[in-house]
Amino acid sequence: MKRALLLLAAVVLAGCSSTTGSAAPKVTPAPAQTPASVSTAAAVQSAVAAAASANIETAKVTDTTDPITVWIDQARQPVVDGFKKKYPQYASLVTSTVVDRETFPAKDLLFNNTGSGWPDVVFAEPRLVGRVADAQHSFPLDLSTVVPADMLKQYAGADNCVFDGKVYCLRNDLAQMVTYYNAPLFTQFGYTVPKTFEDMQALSDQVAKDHPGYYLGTLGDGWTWLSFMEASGCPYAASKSSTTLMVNVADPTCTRAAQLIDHMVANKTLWNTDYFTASWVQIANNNKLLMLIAPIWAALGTFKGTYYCPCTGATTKTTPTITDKFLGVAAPLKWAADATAQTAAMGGSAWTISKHTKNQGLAVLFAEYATQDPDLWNGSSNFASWIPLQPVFNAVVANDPIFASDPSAVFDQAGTEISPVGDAWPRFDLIAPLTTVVKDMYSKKQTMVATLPEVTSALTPLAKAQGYTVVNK
Amino acid sequence: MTGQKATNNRARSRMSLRRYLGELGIVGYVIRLAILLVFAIYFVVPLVWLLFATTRDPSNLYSNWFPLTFGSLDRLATSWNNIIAYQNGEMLLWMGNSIRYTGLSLLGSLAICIPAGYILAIGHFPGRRVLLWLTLITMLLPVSAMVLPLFLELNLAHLIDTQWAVILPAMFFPFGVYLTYVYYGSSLPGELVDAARVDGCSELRVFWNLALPLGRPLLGLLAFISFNANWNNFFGPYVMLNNDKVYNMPVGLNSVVAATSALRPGFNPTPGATSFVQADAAMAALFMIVPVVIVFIFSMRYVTKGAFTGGVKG
Amino acid sequence: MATSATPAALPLTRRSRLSRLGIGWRRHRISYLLALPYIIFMAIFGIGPALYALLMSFSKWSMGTPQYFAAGLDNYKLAYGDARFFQVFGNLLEFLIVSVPLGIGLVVLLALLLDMRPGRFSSALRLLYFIPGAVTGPALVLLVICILDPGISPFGPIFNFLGATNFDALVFPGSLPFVFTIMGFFSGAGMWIAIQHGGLQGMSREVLEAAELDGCNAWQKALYIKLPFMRPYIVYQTILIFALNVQLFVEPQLLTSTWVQANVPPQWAPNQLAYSYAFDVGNFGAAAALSLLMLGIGLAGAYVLIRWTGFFKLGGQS
Repeated sequence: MKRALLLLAAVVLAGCSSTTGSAAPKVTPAPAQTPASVSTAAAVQSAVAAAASANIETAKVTDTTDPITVWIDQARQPVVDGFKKKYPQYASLVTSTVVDRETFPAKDLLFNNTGSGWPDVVFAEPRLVGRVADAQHSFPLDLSTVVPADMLKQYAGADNCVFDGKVYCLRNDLAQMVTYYNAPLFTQFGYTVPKTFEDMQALSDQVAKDHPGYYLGTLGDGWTWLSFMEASGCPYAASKSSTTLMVNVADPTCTRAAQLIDHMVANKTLWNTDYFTASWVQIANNNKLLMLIAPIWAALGTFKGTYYCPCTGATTKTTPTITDKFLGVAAPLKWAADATAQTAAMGGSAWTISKHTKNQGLAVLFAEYATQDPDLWNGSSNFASWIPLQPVFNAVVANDPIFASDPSAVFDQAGTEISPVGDAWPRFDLIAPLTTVVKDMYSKKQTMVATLPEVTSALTPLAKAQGYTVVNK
Repeated sequence: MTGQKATNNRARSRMSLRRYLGELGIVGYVIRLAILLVFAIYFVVPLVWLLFATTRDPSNLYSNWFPLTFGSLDRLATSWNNIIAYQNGEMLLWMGNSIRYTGLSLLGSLAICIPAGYILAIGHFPGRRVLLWLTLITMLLPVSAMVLPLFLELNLAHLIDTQWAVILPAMFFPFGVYLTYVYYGSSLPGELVDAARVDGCSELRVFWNLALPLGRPLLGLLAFISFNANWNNFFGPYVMLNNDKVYNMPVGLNSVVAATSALRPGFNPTPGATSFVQADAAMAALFMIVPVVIVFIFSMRYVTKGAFTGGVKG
Repeated sequence: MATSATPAALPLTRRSRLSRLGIGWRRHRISYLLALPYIIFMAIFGIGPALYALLMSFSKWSMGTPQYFAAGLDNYKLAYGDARFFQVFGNLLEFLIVSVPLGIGLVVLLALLLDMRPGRFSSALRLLYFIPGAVTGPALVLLVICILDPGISPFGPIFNFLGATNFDALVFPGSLPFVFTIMGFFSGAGMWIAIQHGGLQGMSREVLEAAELDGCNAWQKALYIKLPFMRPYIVYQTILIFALNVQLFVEPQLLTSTWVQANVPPQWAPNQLAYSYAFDVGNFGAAAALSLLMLGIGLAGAYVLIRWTGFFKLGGQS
């Protein structure tokens, strides 16, 4: 009994201290909403223990004098703290700086001009790593030379880190999108969860007729736009090589997704903002959210943190409190004509190491610790890329009472269905231009089908400035 | 009729209401008042809202029909604590940095601007015209052109990530030189300078004993404008500083909002964690604004009775 | 009108007088001494970097190493050939057309209205107008985002009444020149009102009283006597506002950042496009070329303003 209590305490404490997010600057894990049962704790703990058996090699840190600088966001502070605690012998060598990582490619260019000042380890999404991997930036170290191949194999989604055959980062987490639904409302209304986008369209008509004012999703920025387009396989920005980018929004896959969007905008089952605006949060807080395609970290982060909770972020005083079995998680939707489902990813970050670092061993050790340490990851709201860690996440979600049923199988499956379009971003930001396209559609009161050509005109100058040739097939 | 009563009350004001009304007409009076008050609302209401916002939870913010309401003292205390505690008190560190950077840049820029502007207005030396043109050109230089050269220079001097990367470039303040030039050009009587010169005063003594004392109103205005520019200096430090320990307030504020997404409620994390909401962002903004407001209130008279009252010319 | 000689006219007359007195090298030496710190700082932080930018604009970059003069005119051609080139300058032009006349007109109007009846009420209002000047940069953007969100804005009921129910209905590409004007006016107008109003208070009382004896009412006084008196200050303000507004950068840049997600094209102002060349693409040469084109356009604008207004008489002197 005493031992079980100790375990429980360990789990709760770990849940409180470890903080890992994704694209969201501030997505922290949920401390257990209701005290976890002893058996839950034990399940998680055994998963942690199992994951810990995959050892990090510390032997390769030979240089113990050269310090390293680590660029992180605020949510990654516990990684640095945890590292210093676990490796006190290197604690004095690690300096961390909280930065806005969107400025990372810019700062790297400045450092290239002065020949000094580079950070040694940077927390950034593969799309940012891609931007510093070109000849002008020339930042990352090829990790295939310093990390054993059998270790690299254990990172899921590692392909995003491979540029021109070189491994430029270690994946931190995956952020595949899944279909979330409001289980009590679905039961109450007698709906079945859609499996295909055709089902979704039919459901939207039903909702519009029977329960107007309830929403099946939202479209208001680049990310939410991607959630539809990539699921359809739309080649809106597919890198064919480092100098050729295909922008082909006339493709039927784009049109069918746009038609679905238009249908759902017209019958008012699709809201018009991104996931994080007050108006959308209000809809969720008023319990009018039926269904949403959103990334994996939204489950423990956004849904538990803002959409349903008595918390500071709530926008109404009548926010529904989470009850057990509230949140349903279903596999990514597919189009009936397609053989398999594809899903977009929002975020899913990585650690990249500078080729200029003076203490390669320590930098690599840090990145391995950040991506692999089971104690650090226990309780995280993120889906680890390090495969041995995935049972830890699965054990956490399997026992979290918010879920209508164990979502871990769905999460795992979605992880294998991430769209190849979203995997290989070009060397420029897609979200800001796509957001203006979506917002333009609303402000001009047009359909998405009619707005699609704007994607080409918005992306083409950005691609050309980066040295791409833009083709449409 | 109400005017009659009011006249008695305000008889001591500089212009009697009766005479004033007569000059303006009732319609004119109403129009003037209306315009002035509409603009007062435009300028003041957002600030009042910002003050109140520090006391309001999102639920209060979004579900109140009246937008200017007070939330709760608890929320105010939370906002205060969140900002103070942010990254172990970095906000206070940034404020200290801002005060230091602003103070040093201010002193430096004044010491450089005033003699230069003075001599450009009063002197007659070869190269003066070139210097005036260069002043105008440097005022118009796009920041995007300057970033890399400045970064390279400061790096050569090993000043990147130090306070000098902010202070030294800010001491070059062509706007201030231009203002000084305009001031002395317009309000220092030429006769006075000539007389002093004829009396055998050296040029330095003319500057020190005549121009500087007469320049006191200018000093106030200039100090004010320089303070404002330096306190709000964002872009330079944003590029030159990579270490959050040396940030100034504007860069820090930007990083708080970017890192916490306080403006985007959906980003807020789980219960239990410190979640930043608008109230916290508003508090952070107040940290940046309040010191300036205090300086503003005390320096108002320098701006009003500033460079352009033409007082010295009499 | 003799008492209100324009500042512009003064330096000229005085200078000719000084020339007659004859000024020796010793005086020049001291002149240079007084200007020396400024000249040094200008060389290091103004002209030096600008000349380097000129050099950059003809150079190519590879892996952070510049190859001087390797690009020829390519960078200029690239900037000019970019589909966004005319867009960003068009945007800036729209912004200038809206912000400069509107800003100056309203400042002058408010200063004149305040001056119609000096007293405690006017002073109090002037202070109220002045205080928002404390809000600039990120704080200003943050405040404006909240104020333009009808859901939480203090002006929300008005916006809703006008049919704008969300942020995107107020902030979109077509409205941006106005949005930036409103932002700039909010934080900048108070200081100019105070300066203009201060200038008006320096006006000779006799002139005003003479006008009153001639039967001028308050509006006529404002229009025919005070306004001409304010001319040099208006010109001064015009030039400075123009110089500042041409540099528009921080506000649109912050509006496109991820924490706002506003309907603003990633590169709206020329400065942003140049910044993007430099720091998104790594083409510092094209960034410098575009910046210098901007400088050229800005200088041409300033030159026209200066010529047109007769202020800052650089051309006619020495």
